[in-house]
Amino acid sequence: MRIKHIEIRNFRGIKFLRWQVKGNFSCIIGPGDTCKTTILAALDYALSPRSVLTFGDSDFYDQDVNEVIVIQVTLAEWDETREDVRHFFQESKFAQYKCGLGDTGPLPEPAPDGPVAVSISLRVDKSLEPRWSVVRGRDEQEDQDRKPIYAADRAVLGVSRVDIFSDFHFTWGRNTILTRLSGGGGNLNTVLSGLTRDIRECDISRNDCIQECQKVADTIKSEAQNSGVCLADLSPRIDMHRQSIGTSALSLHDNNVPLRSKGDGTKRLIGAAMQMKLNSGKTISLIDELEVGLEPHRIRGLICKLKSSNQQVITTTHSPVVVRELIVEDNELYVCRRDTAGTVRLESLAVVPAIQGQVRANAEAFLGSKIVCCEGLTEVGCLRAYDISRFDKNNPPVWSLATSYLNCGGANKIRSVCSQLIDLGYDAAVLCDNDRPDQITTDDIRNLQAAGAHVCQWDSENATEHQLFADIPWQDIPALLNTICICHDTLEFATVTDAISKDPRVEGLCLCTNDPSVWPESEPLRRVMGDLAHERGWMKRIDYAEGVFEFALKRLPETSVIRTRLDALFTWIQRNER
Amino acid sequence: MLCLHGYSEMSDDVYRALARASSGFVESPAGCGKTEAIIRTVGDHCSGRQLVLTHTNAGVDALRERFIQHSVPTAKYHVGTIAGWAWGWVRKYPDNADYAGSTDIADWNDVYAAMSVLLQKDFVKLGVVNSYTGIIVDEYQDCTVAMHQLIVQLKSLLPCRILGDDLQGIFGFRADPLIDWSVVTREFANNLGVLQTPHRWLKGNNNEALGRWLLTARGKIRQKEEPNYEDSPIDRRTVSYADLGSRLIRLLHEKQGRTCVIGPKARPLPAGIETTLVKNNCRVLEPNELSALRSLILPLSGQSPTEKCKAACDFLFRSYGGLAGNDKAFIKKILYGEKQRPRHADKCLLCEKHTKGTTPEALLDLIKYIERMDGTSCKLSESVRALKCIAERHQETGTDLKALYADEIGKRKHHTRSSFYRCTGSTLLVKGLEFDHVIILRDADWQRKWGNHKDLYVALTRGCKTTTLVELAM
Repeated sequence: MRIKHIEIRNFRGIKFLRWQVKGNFSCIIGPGDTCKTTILAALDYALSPRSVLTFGDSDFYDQDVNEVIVIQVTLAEWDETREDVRHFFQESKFAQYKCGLGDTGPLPEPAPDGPVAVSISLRVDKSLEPRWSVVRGRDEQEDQDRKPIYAADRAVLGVSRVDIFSDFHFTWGRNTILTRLSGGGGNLNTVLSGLTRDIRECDISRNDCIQECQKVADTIKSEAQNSGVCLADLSPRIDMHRQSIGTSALSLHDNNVPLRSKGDGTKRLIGAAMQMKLNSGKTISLIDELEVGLEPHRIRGLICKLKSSNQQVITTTHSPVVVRELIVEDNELYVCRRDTAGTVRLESLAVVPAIQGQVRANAEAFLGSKIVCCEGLTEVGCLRAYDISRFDKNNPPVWSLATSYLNCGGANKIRSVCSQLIDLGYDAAVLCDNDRPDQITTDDIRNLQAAGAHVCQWDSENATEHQLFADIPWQDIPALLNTICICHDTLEFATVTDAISKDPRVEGLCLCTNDPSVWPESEPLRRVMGDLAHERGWMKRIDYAEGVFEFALKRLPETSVIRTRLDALFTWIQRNER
Repeated sequence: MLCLHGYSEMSDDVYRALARASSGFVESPAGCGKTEAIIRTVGDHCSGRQLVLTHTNAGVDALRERFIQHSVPTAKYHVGTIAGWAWGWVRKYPDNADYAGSTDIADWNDVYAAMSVLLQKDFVKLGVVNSYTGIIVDEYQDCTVAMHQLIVQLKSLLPCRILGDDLQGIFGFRADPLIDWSVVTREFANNLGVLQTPHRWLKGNNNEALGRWLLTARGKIRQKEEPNYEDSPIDRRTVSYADLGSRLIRLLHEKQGRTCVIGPKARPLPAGIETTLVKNNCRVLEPNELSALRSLILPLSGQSPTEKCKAACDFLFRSYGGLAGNDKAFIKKILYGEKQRPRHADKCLLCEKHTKGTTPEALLDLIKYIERMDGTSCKLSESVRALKCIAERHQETGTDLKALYADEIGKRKHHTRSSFYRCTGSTLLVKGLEFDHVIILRDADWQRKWGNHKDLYVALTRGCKTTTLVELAM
């Protein structure tokens, strides 16, 4: 079976969520507190074959127990030749509870030529008693046509949570993956109760400590006799309650080490492997934070294995390694957003055309809530340096405010990328220079601002390099040129000064020497230096630009264009903080 | 005489054939172990779960009881009426079924066609195929054309075997005719055998000779002729109408055991005779939907005052025997809202209280009044009891009378028809029931007014100890 649609109401941080799941591998990304894990917990509660589930008032949205928790999951695409599925869809079970599925969720009846689905709903009201049922159509009212579904029947759905809670799955406890793989566990209980009896029977009387206990027992026996109670034999023996060893005492061991003591990553891999064996692989795995405990190569291996298996996977991640492995077009990446009213929205990144390259190149950018779309590498480097300079002044660095930088790769791409990101729910800002009005027009800028983007743009005709040489105090120019060379892998100071002094445009300025400290201050010279730095790519790498701006930002006057615009951008980042 | 052992071996062959066949029919005269055949086939010879369908809730109860008696595990069968089974699907998927009627109260005329439409949908086919390994339909002679078409569709999905007796096909109405038996045998093609051990009459100290004679009588009945009663175990008497009451009572008191007086197919016995029977502890059988009550409730919740009054009078006079002419006149005047000045205090009170003609309150008070009178007897006790319940609930909750009636009938569905020591009913009502003694009360020109040869066969086969055929003298 495949999860196709989810609706959640009043569960923990989620007031309302409606999600149409499109692919077989769905990875949810989004900033903290957008209820990614809550979605997985909801799916687990609604579908996995657990018979005991404890709810508290804090599981209700805003602790309001008068609003019923509803988790409704609609599934389709099952294999009706499988014996257990056929049994599930008998008249006496749920044959008459198959329903339809439309764009807005489950329908009471299958539409002509539409998919046939089955919808499972978990309801919890203020009695805190969870009730699972199969519903035809959207679960709107308590008294609509529904049929209870018990844990054993939910096992057919093949849903398991394979993450932090996976320790239990390494035992033969109730409804664990191992138990399901062993066909229900059979006579394990008999074996274990037999063992318990053996323990009770075994002779421990010769142990020193036990002999101490025996002395106490003897005293009590004689005391009892004095009180008129005649006891035949009083001795310390092991008293095993039958329940004290359940089937969950039986667990997988690697030599003498129980698997639960293994590392998180290893356990995750083994858990996933076991799950793939269930229902001949046609299962649904829920994995919170897929990357936990795994090195990048193991992450890639696990994703590859999961994708090539027959199962549906719903996972969350905070790792760019995971994001890079996913195919946007196949709806493998979903962006999760939650507004202040608790409405949670999940949207496939695939709605942004041709974004796969950006996802590979800037995976980090998509993991935050705010993205600054930078025109190129120089701008990204500039922002990173700015971040460090703010940090120096005890301000929170940009990344802690869930903001990332995205390299848009040219002024001509900024407009489309930025507006698509806004559509996805990201808060977006633009950092671009201003030397190519043919690539980004003033209208473009106005439209972006109207869509909610913050725009940080240099003065007219200025690329970032121009703005830097225009803004920096004249006395700092020699050191700036020097820093450019230090940061650059191959650039020599002499080459730089030579290039400037021999530029035909500075002929009339009588520079006479290659020593910049004696060059007279002039606007045309600043312009020439900016031109050369821009054309020859002196700072066109993130690390080049970062180094240069780390130096420059300390020297730029607070009233300079760069400082005021970056400060404004920073204010935007802080103001929008959730 | 064939020994029982030989019979049972023959029957076993039929059971095995039933279990193995993917399509086929078994013909079985009344009392020859049709139910037994179904129970044994399902219990001993079939694997998986069988869908066992029949026509009436009484039939379902009887089958279910026998399955339990024979300890057949419930995983091996599901018993239901064709109507109930089809309705279970149609009410869930009215859109897919192109069913336009209400999903609360079934529109029976459309349900079978709707189910046929549903059975073309893959998800419904799968649901049926997942649930059962075969289908067995009992009393197939009672299938209407629409039901037959539905079963034929099921036959393309699962092995489908049917049992029936064309001589007992007495249901069916002009608008909804029964399927012709020759069509049935052509469709199901394989004749899987004939059950012809008269089990009902071989048991205990029942009348074996009667059982055997009934088998031989089938030939004549099939040719729509009167069987030859000469040297038969049937006790035939001709009685004049004047003597009928006293003769019937004497007969009733002679019989030891459960006794039924069977009247004509489509109408009650003459009112006087019925009253006499009721006074002698004989219960009048009523159909499941309490048709007498139905013909009261529909006009009562309608608009026309005259129809209301007429329906109320008809109901009370039909339900109670022993009402004198002046009592009837008094009741009629109250129901029609006409003024009168009775002398009796009881009657005065009623007149003062009810001046608005026919109301549920007036009906309730009139029933109480009639029941206090000496010499009256309630003939339709089930309808009257249901009416009291409906009217009281209507007074308290204001719920629509029709809805209350539907609710009441819905509740009755799962009540097995109680077995009475003495009862009377039409051939339609006694079909499927079994008594020790049967007294058939037949008009002289019976083919015209009483019922046809199939009704006669059904009536003759209800008694396992004695059957008395009382014919009214011209």
